[in-house]
Amino acid sequence: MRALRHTLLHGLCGIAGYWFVSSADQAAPPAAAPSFFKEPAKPIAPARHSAPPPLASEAGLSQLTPEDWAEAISPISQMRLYELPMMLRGLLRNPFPDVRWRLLRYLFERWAVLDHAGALAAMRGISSPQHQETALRAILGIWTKSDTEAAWQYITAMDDDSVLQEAGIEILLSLNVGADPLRYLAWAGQLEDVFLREKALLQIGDSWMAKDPQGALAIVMTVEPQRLRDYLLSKLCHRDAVDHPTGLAAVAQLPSQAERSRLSGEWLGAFGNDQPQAAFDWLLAHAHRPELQKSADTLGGIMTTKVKSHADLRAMALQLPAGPLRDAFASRAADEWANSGHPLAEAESLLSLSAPCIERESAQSTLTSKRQNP
Amino acid sequence: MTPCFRTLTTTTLCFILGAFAGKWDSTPVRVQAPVPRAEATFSSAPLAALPPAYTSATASMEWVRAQMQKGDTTAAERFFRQGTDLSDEQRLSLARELVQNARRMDPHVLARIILGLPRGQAADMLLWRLVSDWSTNDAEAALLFIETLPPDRLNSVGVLTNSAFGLSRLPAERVLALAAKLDDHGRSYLAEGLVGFADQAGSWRNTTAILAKLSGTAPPDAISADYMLGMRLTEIDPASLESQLTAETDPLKRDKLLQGHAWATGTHDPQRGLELDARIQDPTVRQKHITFHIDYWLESDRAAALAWLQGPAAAQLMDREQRARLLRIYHLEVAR
Repeated sequence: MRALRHTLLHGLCGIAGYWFVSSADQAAPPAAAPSFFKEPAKPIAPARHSAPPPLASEAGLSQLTPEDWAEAISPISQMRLYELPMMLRGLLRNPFPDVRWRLLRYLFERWAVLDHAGALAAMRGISSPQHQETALRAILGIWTKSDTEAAWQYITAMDDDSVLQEAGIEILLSLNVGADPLRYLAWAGQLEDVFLREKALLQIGDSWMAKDPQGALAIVMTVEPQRLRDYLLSKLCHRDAVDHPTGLAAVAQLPSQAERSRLSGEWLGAFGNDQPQAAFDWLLAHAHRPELQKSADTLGGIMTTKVKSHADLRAMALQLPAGPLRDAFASRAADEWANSGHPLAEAESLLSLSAPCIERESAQSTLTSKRQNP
Repeated sequence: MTPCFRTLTTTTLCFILGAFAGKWDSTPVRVQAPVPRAEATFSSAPLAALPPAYTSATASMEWVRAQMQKGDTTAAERFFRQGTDLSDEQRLSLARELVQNARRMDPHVLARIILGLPRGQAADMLLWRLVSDWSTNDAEAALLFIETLPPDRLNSVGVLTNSAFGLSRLPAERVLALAAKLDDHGRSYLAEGLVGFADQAGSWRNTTAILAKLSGTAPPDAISADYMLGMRLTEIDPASLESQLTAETDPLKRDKLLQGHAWATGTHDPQRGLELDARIQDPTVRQKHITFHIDYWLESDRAAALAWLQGPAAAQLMDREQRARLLRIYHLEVAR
């Protein structure tokens, strides 16, 4: 009896020891976690009794879908440093591009706040270049708030990966350039790699237009290099709240008729989509300028979607003086009218307003094809 | 040693031994416990609902999204494989709808669906769209998929040119490993795409490292990387292109560079484009360029184009019949 009691007592002690260690382990950080945690570990007791929610785990992140990914934002933004490598592994295993793209941002923003050097090292360890770029964007977004110069130095010193370096340059330009575009223009202009220079110029232009389209339009004709001026001239017309007549006036100052023709087409197209009647009135007021032939063609196409009847289109065409502008307007309108399923007789009636020309030949070919294959 | 002390010592030892056993037992289980992969949710979805009868692509997509909200991530694939009797046209419509939502879908699932469609232009276009989106979002995974395509789908302009935007970000050796599996057309399409996106993705340093080993002459019916380079440099740095044209000693490469240069120049300035067209050596390409540029000029500045057509420059570049045909449209005649 005494021996049995002794055996039971020793067995119980063994079980108690087993339980003590394995329970305590549930709350311990993983062995691979770095030793320089910046936040105190959570108390053991709650973790012992309640399993972590699935979202805040490696497996949880790997199984999020595009429908429920947003539920992970809050847990990620409160994670401790040692948890982030596991979460990254889980997220990179997630099969949905949208989920990875969205949550990588939050994960690396959290990481950069806690330990930006560690975040950079983790980012460099990612094998997918696009995931690296997403992570780098998040890190630089945090870093530039406190030390823009250091961020620039890090990127410009990254000679071992030109793809990531160029992505970093684009990101930094998009983050900083709005404040002082001209400062970055001078830097970009000195880049020897023509393709990198182009990327930088376009990024500067995009950031500038996003921040201050009116300001960019006001001085666009004085912008150097000419490549950026031309880029701004071709894109500013699509920005909200830009005054199209002002832009068209700027385009009219270009020395080359070919450039005036091409860019007027861009501007009048954007103007027509935004304010069709005002755009037509503008064309009417400038109908003596031969470089607007292509613009008249563009507007003729747009107007088919803005007017109620072909009679309206006919009336507009007839307001234009006989010649290349009216021919281009009427031919294109007839072509689009036929293509959008309206009666061919109406399209024919529009086309009859155009004198013989290459645009009319093209529209006639559309009408013939529609007649043969209704 | 008193019995009491002996008992205390042995029970303590048992406790410690138990603790060791617990430590040894718990650590590997926690670290090595298999993490359920996302792909496995097909079998573990709480309720694998049967797909409803097909009424429209939009309604089917709505059902797929509703299933995904419940954690059923393979609903789309099930729709294609079981429970519904879809016609080819319905399968195509639904696949189009799914591809429109590509970022919200597992690309591996989309790929299986698209490759299961009846082969044709519509299915090919969906495949091109998929590889374009996939390589833009995750070039490495996309490359692994592209490498598994059968040769007739792999060596297509749609797959290789469209994926080049994303692939240009990968290390040169990875892209060259893909290139080794391509035929001459495939390598040409890949090179064309890489140059075409040179100022938008990757880096020129990386792209040139790839292009340097993508040797070989482009087949006659493919656009070459040199042609594309001529076009891009005309847009972004004409002076650099002029230097390249002067320095290039290979007449074929030089002609391709010139062709791209002439094409892009003519879309901005038709007269200058026509002057450059005159220098193109390949007669078929030269004629195609001239026709395009004179048509473009007539549409953008009729008076100037007609004056040029009646002048000596046009007489040197175009035959009399070609000029007469264009001038007749405007009730004009050839002067010389």
